[in-house]
Amino acid sequence: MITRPTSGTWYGLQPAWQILLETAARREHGIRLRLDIQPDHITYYLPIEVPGRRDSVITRIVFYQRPLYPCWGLPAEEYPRVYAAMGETSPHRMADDALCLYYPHSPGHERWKPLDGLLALIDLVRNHVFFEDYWRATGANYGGVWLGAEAPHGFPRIAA
Amino acid sequence: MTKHKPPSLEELLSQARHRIEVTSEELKEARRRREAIANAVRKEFPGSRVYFNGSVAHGDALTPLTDIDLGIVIAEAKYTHGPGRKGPRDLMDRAADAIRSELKGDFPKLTVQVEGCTRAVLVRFGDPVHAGEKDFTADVICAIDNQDGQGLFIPKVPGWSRSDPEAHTRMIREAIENTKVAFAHVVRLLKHWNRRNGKPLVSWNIKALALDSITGPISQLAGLTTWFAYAADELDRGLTEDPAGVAEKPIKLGQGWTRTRVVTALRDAGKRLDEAVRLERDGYPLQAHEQLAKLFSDEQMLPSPDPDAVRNEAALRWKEQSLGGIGAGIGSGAMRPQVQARSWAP
Repeated sequence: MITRPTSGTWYGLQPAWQILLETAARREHGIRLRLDIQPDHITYYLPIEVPGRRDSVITRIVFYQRPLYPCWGLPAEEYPRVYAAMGETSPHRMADDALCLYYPHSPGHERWKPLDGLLALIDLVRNHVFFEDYWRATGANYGGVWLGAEAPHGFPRIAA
Repeated sequence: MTKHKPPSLEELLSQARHRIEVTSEELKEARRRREAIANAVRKEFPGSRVYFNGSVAHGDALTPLTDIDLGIVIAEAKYTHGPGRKGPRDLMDRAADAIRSELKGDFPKLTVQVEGCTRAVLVRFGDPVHAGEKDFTADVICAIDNQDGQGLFIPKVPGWSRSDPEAHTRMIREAIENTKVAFAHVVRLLKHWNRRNGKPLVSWNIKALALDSITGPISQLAGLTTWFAYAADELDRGLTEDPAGVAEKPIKLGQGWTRTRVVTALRDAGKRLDEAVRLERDGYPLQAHEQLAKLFSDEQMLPSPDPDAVRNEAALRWKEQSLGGIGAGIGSGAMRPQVQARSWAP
């Protein structure tokens, strides 16, 4: 049972923000989508099915009030921490094993934003985990193929 | 070298169904025991008629077969027992004694229980018909004819309730004939889905819903999709009434299930099946197969396809659907527009 706070503080605790974010995802995933609310962060849990995997991948999407990780200039709500298939080798993960789903300096249409809805973020997670599986199956660090679009790692150097 | 053609969903369902079907050995032994019980109660209650119901009588038994159902409509109790007269307990005790004395020689570990049984005399053979199973049981109903209406009075100790098990068996047999056996095939698959998914429904509810939705010859795949859609809509409206129109109360759901949860489970299953059908139609047989395997969630009954082959087919699908540099979605997200993100790392 989710108890939603009524008085808005930071974005994650505002019912209007949550409802807008979740609506399509709840319609698609129903009661499998679980929400845990804490004073300074909220976490969505969902088992995601990925083609070629017999078992669902437990996914955790965490929105922080004040993230301790860098958001590279994006508002915290546009840069949640996403964990799935923990411990598996991938060329696109953070140091804490979170998925690097998008380049933070990409134009708006190449990044996920809360207005896109949680369902769109879940789709990105499924794509990403599948791309990782395919990359490993085709050789991983030895010529593995990444099916999706990639941004160069790090940030481009700006000439002085 | 010719490329191996993956099996169709219909072929996979047929193979899976054969794996869960009761074996002829199980059936033969179950019928032998059922007949032994029938003879015992016929001898105790001369002039009475015996009826068979349950999965063996309905032609949809699964392996391992663990029980049989039968009843006796007791002629001599017609004017002495029933609502407002005597309860069923003494008839059940006599039936139990008769079964015990007639069958004990063949089944030394036999136990027959009446105490604590509301509906039927419970016979435990102490000897399974399927190796590896704990036991084989029989439920024996001591019924009387309803002289004022359709059907029978069956025990609901200490009293009676109305039911029409003979009509049920007749209706099921007619459905099997009218559908050229499709009814039994689809029901068998549904019963297995039910037991692999927490038993949201009792078997009789599955069949009662099938009586209204599987009415003519139909493929197993179409039968399943039809049934899931129909069952979800019907249970969304309310519990299923007795198809014979006799029982006072609708059919109960599986233990611990609410109607909302059952409807959700049925809709989820129907959605998965629809996705499998769409994938097969679009030329992705391995992903279709994967969806079907996940529906039943039983590697013995319907093994999953090779994960590497599924992955390769999903990659091919992604490439085919990613046109003009716009990336498509994977799996259940394939039909939705995607955020065109570029994977990255700091």
